[in-house]
Amino acid sequence: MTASPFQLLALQGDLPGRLAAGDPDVVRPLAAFTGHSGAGLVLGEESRPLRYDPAALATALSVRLPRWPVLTVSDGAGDHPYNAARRFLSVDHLTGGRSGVVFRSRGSAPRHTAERISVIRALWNSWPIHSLVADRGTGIYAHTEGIRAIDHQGRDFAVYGALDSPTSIQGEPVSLWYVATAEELDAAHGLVDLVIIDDPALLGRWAASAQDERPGLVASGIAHDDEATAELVPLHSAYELAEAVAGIPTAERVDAAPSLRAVLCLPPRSYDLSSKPLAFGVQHA
Amino acid sequence: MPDRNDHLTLNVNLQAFGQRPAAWQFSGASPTALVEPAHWITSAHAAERGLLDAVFFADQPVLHNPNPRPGNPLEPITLASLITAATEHVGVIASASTTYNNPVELAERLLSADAISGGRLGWNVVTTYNKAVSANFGLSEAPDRQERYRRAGEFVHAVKAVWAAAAADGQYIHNGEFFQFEGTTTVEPSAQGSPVIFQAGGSEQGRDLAARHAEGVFTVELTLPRAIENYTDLKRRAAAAGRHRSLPRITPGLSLVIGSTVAEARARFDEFESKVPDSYALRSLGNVIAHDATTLALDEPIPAEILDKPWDPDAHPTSTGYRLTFLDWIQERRHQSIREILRDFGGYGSRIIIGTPEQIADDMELWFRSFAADGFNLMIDQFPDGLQTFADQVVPLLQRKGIHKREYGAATLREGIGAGRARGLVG
Repeated sequence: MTASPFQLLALQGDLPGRLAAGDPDVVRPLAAFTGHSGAGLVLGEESRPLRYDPAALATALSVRLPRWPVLTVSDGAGDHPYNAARRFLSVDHLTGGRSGVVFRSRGSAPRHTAERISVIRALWNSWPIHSLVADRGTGIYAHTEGIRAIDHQGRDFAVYGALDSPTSIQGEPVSLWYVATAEELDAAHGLVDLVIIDDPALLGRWAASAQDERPGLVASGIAHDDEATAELVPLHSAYELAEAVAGIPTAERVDAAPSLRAVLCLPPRSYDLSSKPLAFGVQHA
Repeated sequence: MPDRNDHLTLNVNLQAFGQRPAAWQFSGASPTALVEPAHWITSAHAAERGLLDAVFFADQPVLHNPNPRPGNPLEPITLASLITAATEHVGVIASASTTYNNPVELAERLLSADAISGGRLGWNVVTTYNKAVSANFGLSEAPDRQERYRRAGEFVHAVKAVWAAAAADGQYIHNGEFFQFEGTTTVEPSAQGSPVIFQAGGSEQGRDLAARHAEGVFTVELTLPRAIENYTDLKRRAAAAGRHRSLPRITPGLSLVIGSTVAEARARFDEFESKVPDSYALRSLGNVIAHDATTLALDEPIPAEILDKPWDPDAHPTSTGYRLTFLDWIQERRHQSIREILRDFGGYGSRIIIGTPEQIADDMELWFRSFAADGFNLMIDQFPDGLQTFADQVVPLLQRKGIHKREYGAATLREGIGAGRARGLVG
C-alpha cells in the first residue's frame, strides 16, 4: 500500500451547511486544489437526522469544487433501491466519474443491506454506456441489445429494471460498506470495493481473509499497518478542515481529472447480468 | 380584451435533446452528452438569458427504449442541484412520484435541495400512471387512478407536514390511510420557505389536488375555448379551497418550432420529422384515441366509431385532460386524413405552433390575455438551439407587449411566479 493513504474527509458538524452556503472559510482551502488530490469529501457520515441530503450537496459541489471526489452515504431509510441507484449514478455522471457511495445498515439486518447493495450495483450495470452510438447515418441512437433487466426477486426487494441511466465512465461508482459486525464484513466480500472498519477485532478478521478475495480497506481511527487503501477522517470545524487539507499531497495537474476508481487504484468492476432477460430484445436496424 | 398586470410564468421542459424525437440527429452532441453536465448547463443558461422562471424535468423511473427518442437519463432532483449551482436566477421544477417514494425521505430531499439552491426549487407532484414503472418497485401492477390520487393527496399533506416542522421545532407527526409516522427533521427551511408545488393531471382528482395544494399547474390544452373554461374552473376550485385568486399559476404545454418565415419553420419541422418512423407519431396518436393507429389508412380520416366510442377515464392510456381536449380539437379535423392530422398533432401531448416569432408571441399574448393561461410550459424542438432562438427572438416581442419581465426581480422561484412565501403549509 502507499505511504500516505487516500484521505476520505468526512464533513461533520456545521461543515456541510457552510459548504452548502458557500462559506469562503470552508470553500477556499478546498478550491485551492486545481489538480486532483489524495483526498475526497464524504457527505452524510453524521448522526441522523441529516441537515443536508448528500446527493444534492454532492452535485452542487461538483460545480463549486470541480475535481474533488465526493462520496455520499446511503442508509436506505425510505429510499427504494431503484430510486437510490439512479440518484447516485446521476451524481456519478455529473461529477465525471469521481463519486462513491458509502453504504450503512443503521439497524437493518446484514442480509438486507447486502441485498440492497446488490440490487443497486446490478442496476448500475444494466445499461452499458458503450451502447450509446448516436449514429446519424442509420438513425440508431443506442444499440439496445446490450441492455438487460436485472429481474431481481429477492427476500426484501423485487426489482425488474433496467435502470434508466447508463453505466458510469468509471464502470460503476466506487462502493463502500461501513461494516459494524463480523456478519456484515463477511457479507461485504465480493460485493463492494472497500469496507470501512473502525474496530480492531474486525480489522483482524479482515486481515485474516484471503487477500485476493477481500474488499480493500478504509481505516477509520485505527492502526492498520499500511494496509489501508484510504483513511476516513472525521472533521468538525473549518480549522480541522484547513489543517487536514494542508497535509494532503497534490498530484501533478492533469487536464482530465481521473475517476475516483482510478485515483484509488481499484480494479474495474462490473456485475454479471448475462443470464438476465434482454430489456428490449434484439434490435433489427 | 381584459387587461392584466402580471407577467407570464414561463417554464421550459428540458426533454433530452429536444421535443422532436430526432433532435439528436441534428445535434453535434456526443452520444453521451445527456449524462454530461455541459448539455444541461448550456440549456439552463439559455433559459436564464430568456428570463424564464424555471426549467422543468418530467420523470418516469423506468427505462424506455432510447430509439428513436432518448429520454432524460438523470434523476431530476440531482439535476436540479447541478443547474441551480451553475446558474444565478432560473428555478428548477423536478418531478417526483407520490406512488414510488416515501414522503419523509422525499420531503427532506426536496427541502434540502431547495435550501442549497437558495430557494429556486419546485416539486412537480406526479402519481405516475405508467404501468411499466411498477415492476421496478416490486408491484405486480400499478395502483388504479382512484388509489393513486388518494395516496397523492395524503402524500402531499405528509410532505407539507415535514416542511412545516422544518420551519418550526422540527417535530412532525402524520397518521393517515397510507402513512403513519412521527419524527424530527433537522433540515432547515429554504430562502422561499419550501419548494413550490406544481401538479400535472387534468382528471377530476388531479384538478382537486391542484386546487388544494399547487402553486403552479401543467395542463394540456389544445383549444382556446376549453382552455378558458378549464382555467376558470380551476381558479374557482382553488378559491373555494381558500387559496389566493392568483393561484395556481396555470401553464399549458406549448410546443414550438420557430423559423424566420412560416415556410422556414415548416421546413425545419418537416426535416425533424423526416428522420422519425411514421410509427412513432402513430403510436402517440394511438394512445390518445385508445386504438392502434398503425392499423389505420394514412390517407383516410380516423373512423368515427373510434372517436365516438365510450371511454373510461380510469382505464384510458393517457391523462384525462389530454383526452378531453383532444376530443375538442379533433372535431374540426374529422374530415382530414390521418396524414394531415399528424402534422398538427406533432406536439405529442401539447399544442404546437410551427411559425415565426411574431406569430408565437401573438398567440401567447392571446391566450394570456384571454385568461386561458398564466404562462406556458415550453416544449422546444431541439436544445440548446431552439431555446436560444426563443430567448433571442420571441422574448423581446413578449417584453414589448408588456407581458414578460425585463429582469429577474425576485430572488426565489416562489416570488418569481407571484406565489409569495409558503403559507398555510399544513392544508
